[in-house]
Amino acid sequence: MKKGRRAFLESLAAAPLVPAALDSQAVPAPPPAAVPDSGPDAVAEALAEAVKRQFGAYLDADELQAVRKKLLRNVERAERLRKAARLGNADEPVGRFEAVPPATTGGRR
Amino acid sequence: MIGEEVLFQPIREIGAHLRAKRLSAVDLAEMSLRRLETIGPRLGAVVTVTRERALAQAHRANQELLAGKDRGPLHGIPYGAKDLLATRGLPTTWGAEPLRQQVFDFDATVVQRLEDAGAVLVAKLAMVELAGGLGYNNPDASFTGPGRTPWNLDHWSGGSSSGSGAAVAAGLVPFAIGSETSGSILSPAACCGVTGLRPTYGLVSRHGAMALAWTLDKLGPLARSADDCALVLSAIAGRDPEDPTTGAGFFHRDRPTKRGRPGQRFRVGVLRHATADTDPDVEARFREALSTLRDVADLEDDVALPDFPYREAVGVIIDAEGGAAFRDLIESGRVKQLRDPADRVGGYAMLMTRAADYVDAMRVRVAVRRDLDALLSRYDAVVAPARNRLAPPIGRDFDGPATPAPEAPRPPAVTQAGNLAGLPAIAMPIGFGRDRLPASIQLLGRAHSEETLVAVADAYQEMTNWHRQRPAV
Repeated sequence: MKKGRRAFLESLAAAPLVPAALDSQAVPAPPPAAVPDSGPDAVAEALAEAVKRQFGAYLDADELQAVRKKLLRNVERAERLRKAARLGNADEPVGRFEAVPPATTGGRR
Repeated sequence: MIGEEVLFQPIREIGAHLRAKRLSAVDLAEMSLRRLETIGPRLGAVVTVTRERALAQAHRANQELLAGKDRGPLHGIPYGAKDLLATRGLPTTWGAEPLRQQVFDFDATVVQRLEDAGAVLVAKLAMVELAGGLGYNNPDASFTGPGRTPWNLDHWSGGSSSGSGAAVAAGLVPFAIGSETSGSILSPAACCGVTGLRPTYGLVSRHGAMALAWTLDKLGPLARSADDCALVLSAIAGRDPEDPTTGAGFFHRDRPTKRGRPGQRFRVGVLRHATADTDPDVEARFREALSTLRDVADLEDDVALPDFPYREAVGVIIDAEGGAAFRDLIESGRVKQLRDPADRVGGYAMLMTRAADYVDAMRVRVAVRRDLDALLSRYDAVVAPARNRLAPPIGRDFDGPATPAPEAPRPPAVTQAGNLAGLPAIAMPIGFGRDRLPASIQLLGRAHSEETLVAVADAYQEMTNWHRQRPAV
């Protein structure tokens, strides 16, 4: 029988409150899947694929390879930044946004 | 009779010739135009010689002086503007082939202010395409070809304000305007043996200037001396409703009081590892410069920059903001027309900068600004070589094999630190290395400490004559 939308959502809402071991209807956990590579190489590869899909018409194979290398350097650079910066949750960025617009045109042309 | 050598003289002295009627502003402009047209191309320093506009401005300057109207120290003085500053009705190419036909219908605020000060625009000067924002990797990165230092035409003039540095060094103009996002005033000042002043972020309006990275971009002068730079900065600094980052002004009408007397000596910090992984000739000149500075300053050695990932943060910010600034050029494929192969592909990687990485870099800046100010509050300036290498040769990529071992000390990332925090700096010549290539020192100070930096640099230049040297071009 098809489950109603409300009943389905209610079952989802309740789920986190039920320890899995006490849930007689708990589905056995699937066997652990291989952990995908999430290192800088994999991230750069994924970003390079995005570049290829969006801008591949402008880039030949050598240029795509150059983009991939730069992406890898960028991802590694960002990792170094995070490790060295030691930022906490409350550390805010610099910013100039103001809700009240300036009285003049206030922009660079 | 006064000849073209007058273009090498300090701005105050050129002005004295004009006011004493030993020289007319028109003759002075003609000398500058002639040198721009004959020597400029050999240096790859010039995009457009603005002859018609220059002569009109020079005639007006002359007439005003004859009528007793004096607009101040820059009245009648020729100058060049980096070709990323909008100039009404003239090409403003940003150094980039796909933008060679770009023309704006207004003047950048800096150009307007210099006109108000009586200065004469004689040229739009060459620059690295898009101010190097897309990651150029070779001196040959402009449709005008590689910029060449007048001291040795086989070597680079530095970038991205390549033409601004070379034109001043070769006496084509007494001063020029450059821009700096991360090193683009200091680098050509160093490679060309001139004085460059990077102002505090927000001191000079960027209205009408090409944007590379909104939170890093600054405009400033390159000239022969610190005093000349200060005179120019006085004319261009100050609040501009068109650039909401601008605020305080800057005034430098008179020479600063020399503070070499006992009890009023400068306090200068020498940065830790300032000469690590540094060319021996640069290191030797730097040591000599420190020795000279000791006559007017108490030097404290081994001053450590606060420990932050300066290089990384600047790189992420430039990639994120530059990717957005040039998004149209990148997404349209027009970057394929750029000169340097690295610039043709760099933008695509920039567009993939992750938002969280950018925000992290902007979060780091809060602590960087705080800790650098705490350090710099103890000194009039901290110093290091402006560049740890002499000007690189033309025809060779920058990313050569010379990489220091990871455990070896690296020179402090003082240029990136200063730019990340929006702080002022001066680079000035301190002698020469092999092949007649200039070496340079940089002085970094607290926000809005330009007057103090100028005073330190001025004191050094009163004791030396490196800034008065002339290349054989």
